[in-house]
Amino acid sequence: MDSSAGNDQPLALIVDDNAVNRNVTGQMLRRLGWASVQVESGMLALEQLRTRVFDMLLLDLRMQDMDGEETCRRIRNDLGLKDLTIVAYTAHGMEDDRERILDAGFDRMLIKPIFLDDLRTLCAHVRPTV
Amino acid sequence: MNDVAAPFLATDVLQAWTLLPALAETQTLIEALCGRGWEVSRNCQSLGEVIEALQSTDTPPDLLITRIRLPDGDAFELIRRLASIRNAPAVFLISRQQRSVVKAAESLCDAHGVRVGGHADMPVRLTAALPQFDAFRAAGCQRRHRAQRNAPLQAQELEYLVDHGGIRAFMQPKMRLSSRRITGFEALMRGVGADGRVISPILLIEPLGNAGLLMRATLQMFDQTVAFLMDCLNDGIAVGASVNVPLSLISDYGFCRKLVERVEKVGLDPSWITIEITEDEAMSNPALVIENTARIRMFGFNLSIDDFGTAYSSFSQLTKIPFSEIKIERSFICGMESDKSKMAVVSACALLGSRLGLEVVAEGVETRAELNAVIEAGCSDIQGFLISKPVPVPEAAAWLRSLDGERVALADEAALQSWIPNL
Repeated sequence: MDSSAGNDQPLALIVDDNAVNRNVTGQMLRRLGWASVQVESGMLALEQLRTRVFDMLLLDLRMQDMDGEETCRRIRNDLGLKDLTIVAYTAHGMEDDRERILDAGFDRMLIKPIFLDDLRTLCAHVRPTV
Repeated sequence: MNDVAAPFLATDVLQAWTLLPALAETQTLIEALCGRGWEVSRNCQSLGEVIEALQSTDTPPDLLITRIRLPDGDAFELIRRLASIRNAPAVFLISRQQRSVVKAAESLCDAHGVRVGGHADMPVRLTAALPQFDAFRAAGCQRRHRAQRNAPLQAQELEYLVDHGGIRAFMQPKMRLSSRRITGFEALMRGVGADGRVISPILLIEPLGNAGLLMRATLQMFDQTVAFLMDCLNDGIAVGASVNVPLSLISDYGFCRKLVERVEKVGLDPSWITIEITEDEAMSNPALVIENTARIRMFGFNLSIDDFGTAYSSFSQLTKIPFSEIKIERSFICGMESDKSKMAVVSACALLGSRLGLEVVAEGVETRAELNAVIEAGCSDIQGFLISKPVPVPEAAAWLRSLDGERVALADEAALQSWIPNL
């Protein structure tokens, strides 16, 4: 699903194998002035990233085919996208794993479920002018 | 809601006994009470006499007005002995003791299940005491009428409710203090009879358990909660919801599987749902609780500890159970702005919770003064009548959509500005 639009509108890639989560995250981003592309797997995320430029990537850590950490490593190493903001989101109680997750190449970590305020803070950090 | 109290009937007369040896104002007090719907039918002079009289009567009084220090004992012994008497009266304490002693006597009443009618300092000032007697009498009359109306439900009535969609989730919203946004709802069980009468959870939950129907009723609550969440999320409104589940059900692997099947069937990420267990259950059998709460988290649900502060939490157990939230029991919140010990308890709970990385919800917030106090204490979220009472699902859904960006507009915004950033 693609809800991207104008030139200066920031664009996020949402990677989650849960359709309800993809949809609600996309709708919240739209309320915050962002466009988004939503895909359901790490492989599809890599495909998207090869073809277009994104301002931010939201990545669920627990996915069926290729997990979030592996996807993140490939984005950094295989695609060489060192500067792209990549945000992990994960279940509560994984604070102990925070260091390992950040070491895998993530910039930030959010705890599920994600509320509008979490995204607002995040978006303001990534693109302060929107 | 139809479970409003019956109208107060002026003809109801409540019975009181006194245990006020050597109290100068006794006669004045009795005369004042007799003019306000009370009958003072016995004046005892010692603890021994009152216990013996209560043990031998078929018609115990509604209220026992007593001093704390007695010639042959004290109110603490009296309260303990009242606990073993059937239909024991509530107690009204009269003393010249410091406040902490009176509070201890009231706490002992709570611990023994003896009701407290009020208290007055000596010398007794009628202007302070009589309103308490009036309030007790009004509540007592309502209780009588309610007891007549709300006789315990029979097994077949409960079965009818469960079979015919009479178990309903009423939703009470939870607000994040930092943004004033609604982040979730607690699903609270109500029964709705064929005549539309709303049946309170007190008449439902324990009887459903006794009738072996609690699993079915809880699953129906869960289904309604899932449907509500899907409706919100599909509309782009990110809110979670919590469901109360007794430990006996969480300990049943089959029940947990049923929860998982239900969220998988509709494609709902389980992290939108929080399972609430009460603190006294959470602190019971450690091995059992850890096994079963860990399983709930393994399946992806969040876990909350309800009624926090009422049981005896062990710090070591708190660190072993994978909670994501604690909910501070309403009795600590009620009137906390003017009670230093409640303020201390709530602040300590909030600090403990935040250091453990948990959300800390203050339950039962009803006034602006309580709101300011829980903010000061460091709670992260609130629930209570100040935001909304529990309402049926369609009403909750409509209310949520009526808000501007899920933000609650509280009257008197200016008073909050110093606490809450205007996000």
